[in-house]
Amino acid sequence: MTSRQAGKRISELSRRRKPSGPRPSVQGKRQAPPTPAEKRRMTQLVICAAVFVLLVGVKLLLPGKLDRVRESVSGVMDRNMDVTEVFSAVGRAISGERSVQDSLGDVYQAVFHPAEAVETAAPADGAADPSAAMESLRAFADGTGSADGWLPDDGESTSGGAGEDTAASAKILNVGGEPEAASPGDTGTADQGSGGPSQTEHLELSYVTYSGENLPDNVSMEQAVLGFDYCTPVCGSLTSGFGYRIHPIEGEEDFHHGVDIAADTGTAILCFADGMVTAVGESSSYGKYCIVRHDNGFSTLYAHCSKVTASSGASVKEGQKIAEVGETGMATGPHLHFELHEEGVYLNPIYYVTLV
Amino acid sequence: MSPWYDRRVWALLGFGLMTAWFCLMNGPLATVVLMGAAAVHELGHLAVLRLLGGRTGSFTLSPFGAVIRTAGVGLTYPRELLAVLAGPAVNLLCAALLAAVPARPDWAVTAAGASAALGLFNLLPAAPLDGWRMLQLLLCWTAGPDRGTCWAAAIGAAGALLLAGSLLWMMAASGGNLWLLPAVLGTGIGGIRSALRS
Repeated sequence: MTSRQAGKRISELSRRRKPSGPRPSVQGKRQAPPTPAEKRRMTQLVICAAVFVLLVGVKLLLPGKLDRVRESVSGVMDRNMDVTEVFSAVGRAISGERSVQDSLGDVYQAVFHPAEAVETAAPADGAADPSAAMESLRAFADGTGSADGWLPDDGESTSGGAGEDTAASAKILNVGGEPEAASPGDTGTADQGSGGPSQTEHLELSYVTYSGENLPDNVSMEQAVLGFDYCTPVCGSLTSGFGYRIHPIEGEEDFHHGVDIAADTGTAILCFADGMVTAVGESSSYGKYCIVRHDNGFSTLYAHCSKVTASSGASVKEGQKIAEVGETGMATGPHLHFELHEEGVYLNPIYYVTLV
Repeated sequence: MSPWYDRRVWALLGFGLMTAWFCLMNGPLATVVLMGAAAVHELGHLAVLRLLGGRTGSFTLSPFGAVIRTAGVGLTYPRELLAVLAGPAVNLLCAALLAAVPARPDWAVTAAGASAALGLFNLLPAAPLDGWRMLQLLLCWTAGPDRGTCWAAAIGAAGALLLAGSLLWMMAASGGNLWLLPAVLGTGIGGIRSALRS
């Protein structure tokens, strides 16, 4: 409908309405005294308008104060009891699974300290908490130790997961070949990742990477539990690890979101784990690449291939050949650039590959 | 004769919003379990009311809970008592049944807890709750309608204000827990109304 037509229609409507005359009744109503319901509605409207104007005024005049109010309000909104846990505690009491007294304690915990209940439950699941290991590792790499607050002073978490922590730190730091770090937990995993071509370069790298500072937002240094079987895509040597490095072509410092495994052109690239090929493509930086989606929100990317043999949408098995090593895109030699993503976050693939 | 701004429409809208928020914050399990317990409670009231020959006048859902009003002539005291008792009783029965589910899956334990919590909460002698309504009926039955209503109003007001106060204290002590706010407001308003009536 054109605007002219619309205008015509409106004018017709108004013309039609005029003689039928709702006017007198409106006027009559206006002259009559307002009913209590109307009065109440009017009061409500006035109060709402006043509150709105007041809030706008406060926001304009005292922005800092309003921010503080908003913070405290959102703090109150965040502090909620764990409703499910309250019900479960009552249910456990009824079914006789737990005594009434213990259940009351559970209810109290769920109402007053919901977050702490979750925290205390976590170590019970298993000492292999990757984030705790990572935090202590960062502190270790910093050289700050517990003075920084990374490590708990009371030794609460070290009692359960001490072996795990040192093992993890040894494993991770050994990738960079830092000799000092390998000594505290020489548990046999030490030999796994070392043997990169230039140890001095990696020593610097590991220091920068694990200092825990200036990590890009979409990067996590934690070792995630994948929950499925996996294998090393290409057997080769590590030429560039995960983390900050000087870009070999551009010459500037940037974050390397994967690991580079050097191998001859044409070497078969095996699929990391069962999954489905979600993308096969070619870009100026990655060259020929493919992305495979796995279970639990993980996916892997294989770049600089000379050829991608799997087709997009195909379901692939762990260890199945999906591509061949090459040096397409921005590469200085034949290698596989291997990335591991979890829901858009880059993880360090080094924990999951075995290198020569 | 129900304009769009009818109070019941707003109450229902509020109920929907609350449910949606609750679902977002606490997940589907808690929501389904709580809604299921509430549904069983109200169905218990309605079924017994029907069985005993009462007629339902209106059914209102609001963020503070559900309210059933009877229409027409009231039932006899024992029958009305039964109808009021039916809701919490069905809740407690459900809780017992769910707790007896073999192997005790998590959802059954949670559902039993929700049902029991709802049933017990409603048995409290605070103004708008079933427990208070039963007390009122009992007092009216034994002491006569006038005195009974008066006493019940006083007890209900005291109970409701006490309950609202303790819930409010719980919110303050834990620094949040906005889920208690509807209960605080509901019992608080009920208590004030009851106090004004007495």
